[in-house]
Amino acid sequence: MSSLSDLSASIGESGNRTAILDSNLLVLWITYRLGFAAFHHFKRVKSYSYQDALLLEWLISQFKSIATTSYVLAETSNLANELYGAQRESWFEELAKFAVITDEAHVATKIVGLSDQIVRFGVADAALSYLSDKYTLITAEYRLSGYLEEAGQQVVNFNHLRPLWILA
Amino acid sequence: MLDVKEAVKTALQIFGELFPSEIYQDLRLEEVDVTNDHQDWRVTVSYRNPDMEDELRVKREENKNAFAALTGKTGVSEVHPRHYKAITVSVLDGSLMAIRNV
Repeated sequence: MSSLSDLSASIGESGNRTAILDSNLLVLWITYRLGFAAFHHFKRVKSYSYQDALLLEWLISQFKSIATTSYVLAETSNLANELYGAQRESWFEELAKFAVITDEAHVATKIVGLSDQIVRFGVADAALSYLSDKYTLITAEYRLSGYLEEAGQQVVNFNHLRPLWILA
Repeated sequence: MLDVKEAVKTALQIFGELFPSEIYQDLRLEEVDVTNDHQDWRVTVSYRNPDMEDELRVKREENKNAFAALTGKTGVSEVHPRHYKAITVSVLDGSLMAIRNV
């Protein structure tokens, strides 16, 4: 399991970098900002605990800033489509705020289309893979993180950090 | 009813009971999700297997030598292959439902 020193070492190197969250973690982040407990029926966050949300908050705070892509926003929006009524309204308002205040890391569709990773990982993650030269990717997707780790790219697999909380 | 923390603890405990510690190193939690029918937790873990790495290292060395003989170049980088298992446990009582290679 990851140790706290492993965690500090990896984050320490990333301290003055900008990070990008994958869509699953952006769902968790938006939900946490609205009040995690109120969304306990939301399937997309059912596999996370409140401590996980706190861990994500801490992790984000270790970076200089956060950026996102239009692909991640679209995928995040799709993941939240099961919400309805007032919860859906407040959730998408929060996502909209995030979109307005967060810098966009742009990847042209042509580049994504030409990427070798599009078949393996899909559009959004192929774009993230392309951006991992310049940004640190924070993801919960082990296939993508394993691939980028082997390629020597900047990636933090959120799930590798979770046992620190879960087994505490 | 198991929550996510209990599900992960249970899955790791089952993994530890079924697989002797000598065959794995660097165990990592990779993914946790609940099945569509909300009946089971699926916990994916990964680990390194030092025994298999020794076998792979020998094969890689042979391949590297063959590659060098053919091209005059070296340079296949050393990576530690990871093995992935998805452990499915019941949401209701944590009983083991399945273990699959991923």
